[in-house]
Amino acid sequence: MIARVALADRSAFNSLYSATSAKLFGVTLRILNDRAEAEEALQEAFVRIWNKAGSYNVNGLSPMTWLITVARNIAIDRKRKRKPDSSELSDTWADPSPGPEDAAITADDRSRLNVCLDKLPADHAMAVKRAYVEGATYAELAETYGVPLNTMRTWLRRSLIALRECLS
Amino acid sequence: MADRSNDPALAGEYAMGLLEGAEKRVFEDRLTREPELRALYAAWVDDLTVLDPDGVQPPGALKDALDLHLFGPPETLWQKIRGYVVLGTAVAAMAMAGIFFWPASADYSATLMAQGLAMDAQVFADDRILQVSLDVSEAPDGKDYELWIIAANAAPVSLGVVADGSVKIPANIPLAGAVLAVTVEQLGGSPNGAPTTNPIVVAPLSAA
Repeated sequence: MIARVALADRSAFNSLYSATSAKLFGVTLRILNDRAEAEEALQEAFVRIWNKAGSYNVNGLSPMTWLITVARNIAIDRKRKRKPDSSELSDTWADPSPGPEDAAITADDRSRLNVCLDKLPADHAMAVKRAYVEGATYAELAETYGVPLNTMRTWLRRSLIALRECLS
Repeated sequence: MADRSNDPALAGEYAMGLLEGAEKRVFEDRLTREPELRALYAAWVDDLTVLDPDGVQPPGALKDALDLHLFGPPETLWQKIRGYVVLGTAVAAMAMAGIFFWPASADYSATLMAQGLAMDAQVFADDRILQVSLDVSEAPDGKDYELWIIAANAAPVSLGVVADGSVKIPANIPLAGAVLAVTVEQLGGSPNGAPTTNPIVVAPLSAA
């Protein structure tokens, strides 16, 4: 279908939108945590998909993961460009109570990734999930966990290496 | 870049959106040149996707806004608006100049609408002139629309490829009770003077 979208086939684009917009909206909404911004990001994502469908396979991604990656990257770029807002940071990041991320964590417990994440220390696993699902930066994660930024990065890279070994 | 032992973690950081600034640019540059790195990156993206949140239905208006952004306003409406603006301007100009006149009124008219086609036809019986005004004419690639007039119990007679302007209706065709039809034909119209496909639209000529 992406190949047909690349040929400027509007009906293929409409089908693609129907099939994937909810998934991609879930992604942008989760990262931006703001409906209006998430809607703008979703629209920008589909504009890019329409314009760039011809180059989707350059990174070797499967169609659906490419679409998700486009939406994720746009949402993360927008999040990074926001003015630092300390109240929002403390609201979103310093709240230790179980958030909506727990729903995502329990959604597919039998996946290989979740099995491997379970083998990490709990806070390391949570940092990986927050970085991915919410698009948290190292600075934000460091603040959340009360550790220096470099320590945070070391944690995360070590976690990624362990995950990669476990997944392979 | 000789040491590649960090690549699995680096690809993971990039897939998660954690690389920023120069590190990100360097990684993206390598990604275009190193297939092994692309494979590492693609593996991370595939593995991480299980963490993606559940879907949330976006509001319906978002698709309309997206279509408007990508494709502009729907063409028929747009062309109609443009037509009204042009007409309005012309009428205003004439009114200001004090030269107001009524165009001769048509004796028969028909409106033909189908996917990719929107046109009005007006027939002036005295001259047997059929005036076509096209709003939309988007025949499929490599095809033309052809206009036909069909008198009761008679074979279709071609009025040529659909185009703005006027065509003469042959004298032997009774106008009362006639219908207009449009078919999709090869470029330049049907080669044998008869329709080769079923009409996409048929409309009777109504007395004005």
